[in-house]
Amino acid sequence: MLPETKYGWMGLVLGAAALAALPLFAPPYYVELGTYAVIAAMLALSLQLLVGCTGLVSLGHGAFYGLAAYAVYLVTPESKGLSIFVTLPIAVLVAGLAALVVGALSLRTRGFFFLMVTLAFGQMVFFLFHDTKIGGGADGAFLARPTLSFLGYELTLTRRQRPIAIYYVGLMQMVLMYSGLAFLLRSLFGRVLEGIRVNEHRMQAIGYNTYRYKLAAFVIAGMLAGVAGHMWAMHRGFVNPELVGWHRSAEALLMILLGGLHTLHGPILGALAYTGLGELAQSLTERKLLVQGLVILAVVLVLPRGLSGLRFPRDWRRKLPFASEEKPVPEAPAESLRHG
Amino acid sequence: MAEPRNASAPLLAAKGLGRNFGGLAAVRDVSLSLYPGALHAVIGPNGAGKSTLVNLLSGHLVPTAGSILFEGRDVAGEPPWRMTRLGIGRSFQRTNLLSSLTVLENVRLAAQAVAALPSLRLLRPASREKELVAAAYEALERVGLAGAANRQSGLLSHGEQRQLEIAMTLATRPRVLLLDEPLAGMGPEESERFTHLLKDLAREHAVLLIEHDMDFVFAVADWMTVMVDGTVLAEGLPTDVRANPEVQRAYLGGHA
Repeated sequence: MLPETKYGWMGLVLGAAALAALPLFAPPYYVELGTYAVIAAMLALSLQLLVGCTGLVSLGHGAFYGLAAYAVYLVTPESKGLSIFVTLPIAVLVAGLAALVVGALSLRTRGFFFLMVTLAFGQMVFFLFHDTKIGGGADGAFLARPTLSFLGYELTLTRRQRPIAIYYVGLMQMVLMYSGLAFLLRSLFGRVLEGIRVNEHRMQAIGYNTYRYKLAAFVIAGMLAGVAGHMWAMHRGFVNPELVGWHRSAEALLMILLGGLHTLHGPILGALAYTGLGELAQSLTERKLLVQGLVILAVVLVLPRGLSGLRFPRDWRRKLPFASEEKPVPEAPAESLRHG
Repeated sequence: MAEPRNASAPLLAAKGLGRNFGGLAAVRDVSLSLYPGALHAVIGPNGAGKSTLVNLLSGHLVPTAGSILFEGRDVAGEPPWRMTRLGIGRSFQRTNLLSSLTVLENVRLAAQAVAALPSLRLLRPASREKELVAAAYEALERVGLAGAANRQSGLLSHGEQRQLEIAMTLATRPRVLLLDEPLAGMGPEESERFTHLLKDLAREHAVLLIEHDMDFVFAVADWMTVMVDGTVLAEGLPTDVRANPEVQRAYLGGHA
């Protein structure tokens, strides 16, 4: 899941530095696009905890993302935005509680049934917002965006500064989320999740109540999706049922596939590539989704391990003084998606 | 029928155990007792219900009749993970490993499962939990796999995988060991090592052994149950079972 070579870590640091430097050279439009990408990356990262780490493919993950955004909308008074230190915990808590309920029920099933049950839950949440007046119904609603304030002191930003500040807030959250997940995967808890991904049946036989571990992972993933959903509300100041729909979950799954199923940086790479690709396709043609789909298909066929499976040519690497032997990473593609 | 040597209470006892699959009775009315320090072998032809019996005792199948008493408490129908935590360990007939993980990690996870760590401790980095690693090495050394600790378990030879299977079971610190054809696929050298290990284990655990190699079974068993068509045909000391004409006719043939 984590980089295994010096190059991997170097790439990670360089990537983070490049993202941090983006507002210094990119026009405002691209900074905003960057914020979208960072939000998408957080959603994909949170889903990776289930898909790549635990072997649980969920199509209802978008529901927690959307619920968090709606939670921000529902607690914010019309006139004035609340502090991010108020809205973020609320959004995360709402997403986590929803994940606890959905997870407790859906994790009783496995594999295909799990996929379908999570999809059904996601769609229930979608229609809750689509068919009722909550949050402006199908049209959605605007909200006063959370502010960067703390204990009465508010950071006042000009129209030009705000997108940049928001971008950094998002980026910081993403870096924290990546680090937190990296830490989690190295912990005893993370090892159990890996064991469940590889062979759940055996994990039960050696004494693990796997249901509880999967539920814990599901709730954590839901809460992290809530962080992404909160960021969306903060960035856009608008909620609509599309946030909750299964498209969101499917997109996040595509980003994971595009970036790499077995790494933690894969979802980030995938989200950046997906967002960039969408932008490029839109500027070139009117068939954005078609182009996006074809490119993703091509990448997945050519690079079974996604963009994070890309490597420099061997000859080039050997010239570097600190080139280290790269061990082939043992892969278990067959097991990785098997449930129990 | 005479009880086995020790007059102490059985650690694990099955009473009138049965399991139907639809109309088929895979196991019916099986009673047996496992005592600490004794090796109880279950033999019988293919399809006699031996593996089903192990699956019932380990919680992988829920019995449709009868009870399973562990230290006098009925545990029938408990899920496998709870059986393991109670102290009932099993190995699988067909190798069942965490095949993309290292040998050490397979066993370390088994040790972790029964360590009863508080939830917050689970957030500690796995590399810092030295006791778990030590426990894992201990189990690996017992089966003779410590040298392969860092290899990927899925790439081990078949015999080594069987050894790892046993090591994982041992790492869960069982008091009852249910061994489902542990020798299947082991080479002669490994079998010999395993015979010694098994005799050792039988001193400390209550062992239930299912095995097809009759010479081996008669060499190590303290007590035997012969199963045919899902039910008990005979039980007793190995010498009595060997001499039993019914057993000879039904199963052993010219072997004994």
